[in-house]
Amino acid sequence: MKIKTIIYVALMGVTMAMTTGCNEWLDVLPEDKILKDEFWESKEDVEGMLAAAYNATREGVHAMIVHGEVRGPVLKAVGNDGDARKIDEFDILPSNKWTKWSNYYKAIGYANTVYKMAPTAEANDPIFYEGELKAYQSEALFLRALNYFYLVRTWGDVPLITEPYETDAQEFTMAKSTQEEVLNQIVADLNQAVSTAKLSYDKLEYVKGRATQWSIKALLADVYLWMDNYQKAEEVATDVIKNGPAFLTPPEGWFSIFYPGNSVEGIFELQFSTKYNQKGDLYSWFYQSPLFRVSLMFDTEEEPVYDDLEDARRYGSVYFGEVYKYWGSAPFTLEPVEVFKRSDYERDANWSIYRISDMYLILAEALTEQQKFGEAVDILEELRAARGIESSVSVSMDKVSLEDFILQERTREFVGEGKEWFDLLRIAKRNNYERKDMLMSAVLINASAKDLPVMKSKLTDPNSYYLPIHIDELKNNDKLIQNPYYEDVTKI
Amino acid sequence: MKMLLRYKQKADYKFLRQLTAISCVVCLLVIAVGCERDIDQNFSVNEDLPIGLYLESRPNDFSLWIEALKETDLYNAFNVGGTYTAFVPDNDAMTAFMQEHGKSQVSDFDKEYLKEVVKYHTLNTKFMHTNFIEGYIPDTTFTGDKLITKYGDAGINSIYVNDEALIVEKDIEVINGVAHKIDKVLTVVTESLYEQIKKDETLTLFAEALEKTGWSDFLSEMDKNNLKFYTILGVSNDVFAANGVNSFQDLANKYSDIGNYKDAKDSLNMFVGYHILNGGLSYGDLSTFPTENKKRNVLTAVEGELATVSEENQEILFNDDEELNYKVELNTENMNNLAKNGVYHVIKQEMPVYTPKPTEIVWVLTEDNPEISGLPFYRDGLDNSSRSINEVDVERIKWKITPMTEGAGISYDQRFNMTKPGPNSPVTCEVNPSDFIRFYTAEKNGWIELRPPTIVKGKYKVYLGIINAPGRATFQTFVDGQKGPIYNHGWWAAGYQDKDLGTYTFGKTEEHVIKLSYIKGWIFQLHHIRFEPVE
Repeated sequence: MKIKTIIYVALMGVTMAMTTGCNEWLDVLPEDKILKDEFWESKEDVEGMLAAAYNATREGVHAMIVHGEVRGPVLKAVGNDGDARKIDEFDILPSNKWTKWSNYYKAIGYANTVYKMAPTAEANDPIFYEGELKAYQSEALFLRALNYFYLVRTWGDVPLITEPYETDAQEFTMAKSTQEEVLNQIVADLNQAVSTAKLSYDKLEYVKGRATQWSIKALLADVYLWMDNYQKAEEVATDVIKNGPAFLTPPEGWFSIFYPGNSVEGIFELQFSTKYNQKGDLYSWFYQSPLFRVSLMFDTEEEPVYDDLEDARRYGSVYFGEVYKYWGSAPFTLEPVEVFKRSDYERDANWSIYRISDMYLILAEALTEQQKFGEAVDILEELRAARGIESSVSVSMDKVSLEDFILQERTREFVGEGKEWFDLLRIAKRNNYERKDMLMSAVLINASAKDLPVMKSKLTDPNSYYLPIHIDELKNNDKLIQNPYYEDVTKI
Repeated sequence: MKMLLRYKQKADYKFLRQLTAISCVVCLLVIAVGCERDIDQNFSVNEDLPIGLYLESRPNDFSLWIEALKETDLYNAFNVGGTYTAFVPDNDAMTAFMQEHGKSQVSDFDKEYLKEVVKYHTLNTKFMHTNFIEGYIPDTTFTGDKLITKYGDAGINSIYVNDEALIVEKDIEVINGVAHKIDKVLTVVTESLYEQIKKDETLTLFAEALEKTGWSDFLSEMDKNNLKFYTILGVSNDVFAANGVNSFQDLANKYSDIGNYKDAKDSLNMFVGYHILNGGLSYGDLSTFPTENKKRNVLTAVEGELATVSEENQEILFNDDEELNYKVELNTENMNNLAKNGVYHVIKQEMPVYTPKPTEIVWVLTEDNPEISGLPFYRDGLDNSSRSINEVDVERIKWKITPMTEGAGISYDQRFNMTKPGPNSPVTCEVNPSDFIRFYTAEKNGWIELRPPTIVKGKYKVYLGIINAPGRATFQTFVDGQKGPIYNHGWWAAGYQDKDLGTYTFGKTEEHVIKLSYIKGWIFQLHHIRFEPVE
């Protein structure tokens, strides 16, 4: 039992020490004991491993920002993280630390273990019922799918691992699967999970922080949109909007999404809490010693981002280059200029993965792609009304104009939330990169004259939109082949 | 095996370089046989070999270049210490090169010529592909020439050298530098700027103007021992035509005042000479600015006349003047054309002589001095580092101490989190760690002499941009021999401090000398000198 206790401490307690210490995915394998049947005696064993999977996903927030947003035009990597700045500038080598994917695979490893071993615990534990088992497995599938979704959007083709690692010592090598294969697995996992997942929990942190049928559907809608399956994306997003528990707040409530968080809009948020010793670093990254900033040219008089002065988001998103969402406690005011900082005990903002406005914007985009422009505008207006904008959307009724408008609306809604680059890529890549020029001009807008020719050249090859595989991973797994565009720089 | 080999070769390196070529080859055979499998794989042992041996380990690609190295007695040089960048043409490229010259084997070439070719492909500083920009590689080759890199349509997989050779395999790191495999032997550029311009059929009228004003002689002069680089902003026939200039006579009618075109006082002569900038400024150099306002002055070949270079909406402009509603744009479709003594670009407007208004000038000691920006450790990001540059002769920075005591010296330093401007300084350093020059002496007999590049005549406030230091030197300051305030290098919180040296009126557009005479020796750290125009 002693070994088990030790493992428990490592998994359940603050897994920080354990998880930050290792970088390569081989290092992060659970100890081989964990896969022995005798470990899995009760429901608590499953919960412990599941907690580790959530924890590992939380550990990925920093990577989600770097991978999902800094390459977009608005959020910039600043400060001492030179590797993040190089990602931002598309000066990306396979030795860059942000080309490591271990945080995602770590979470996937735990999720795979839960999925596979939970039935053993169920068999050994007389008060562990099948319904609960399936619910836990649904959570595991959700976390696996979520982490794979980050992987494919960042690297394209990646190894698809759905089994737990047998032992630490095992020589583990695996080739990449195509992005399509991984996406199909994600869809299969989510469709399986949705039927057996819980609808809700008894604690708010769980309702917003653990997989429910609604968070699974939210992810599924996003995945369908990425896969250009517009009809399904429309269907699922509509379902979440119509039947789900989350709804749009009135404009006055908008900042409650971020402070205190777990608002009525929230669908799935990675939970941070000072009380539970899970403080998180968003306050530090976005304010204290910033690693991420928004250009001071964001939302200027000449080039407003917020097209309407009544937009509630204008007074709570970005304050002079800093993403206010993570350090403010109420919308700031402009005259007189006043900010409201969170107290020392409140610097634990959640990381929002999906909230109800995601569903509105996914739906609007899916409708646009199906040429249902009028319906798309209706959805946008419904969202904007909740943000305090009464005027109607004025945009020409064609696909390109609406896509551009939706991208702008997404920036207004999600700046600093790790999405902008993925949004640009999703829209640009359709129909064999039909809108590559849009992505290029969006990204190049900040380039200096000096960098412009080089960046332009790099962005001409769409393979450069995905990251290279880190050299350490290639060394550890000889079945891996470097991603196209970067093959040559790996020769060292 | 791999581990062992790596370990051993690191240790053996010093010993290796003392070996003769023959024993190197023997050694290579052992190594090559021993790790054949490794070399085939992505992770080869190349980083443990010097360039020569590494190339020799890949005969299918490089045997002909190795022959050229041996033929010219340069092979050994490639196997000793150093930090080289070698552009290495593969065998196909060499075969084509031989055919082009009607040679059937490498040894048929004239040895001296071949030596020039090899040296032309090699630089004494290590440049990875990430260092390549749209413009000059920031060091000269062993022939004293500058090479230009250019990006095609496939990002890092389309980097061209001198617009002719594609880098087909990059960043082959070896123990004494880096090799890049290229698909064509570089043509050694021997033509002067004038000769190159004469060949450009879009610039025939401009070439004629160069000739008739005598500037062609100036641009053809190429002193082998002291090669001077220039940048030409050529005006195309189309641009002239759009301005009603269709012949040289039209141009003379438009600009000449005294009729003797070769007279330096003739305004046509000045007009033409004003299109020649001092120094080789590729696109990469033109688009590099010391300050956020992205504007700086460059000297032209016409004495005392400057031009401004600035950036607006991602474009490079010359003499941009909003009041006059006037600017000269760079034609990025025709730029970075290489000549032995410089580079020429084409501009979209004629560029008459223009006197820039006095503008704020920030002379950054590190990046604005090529002797420093060319150092191998320049901006390598090592925090809190201090590298001696006692041996580096920087043209514009002189430092003299008597007696020269132990420990005294001048160094290139980098430190994190100094990028934000401190009190009184509007300057922001683009890089983090920021870099600066550190002077240290315990003696008090000596001086530092700083000579920033030419500035436009006018009235300026002069500032020393210093970095805080734990210990203070004290100076009597002089600007052009005029006594300034006594300056006491203190300890400030963070960032730069701009120390006011007073206001000076410069009657001529020329260079100025700032001299700091020690009253008390100690640490002195300088980032920049700033000239702020006074109305």
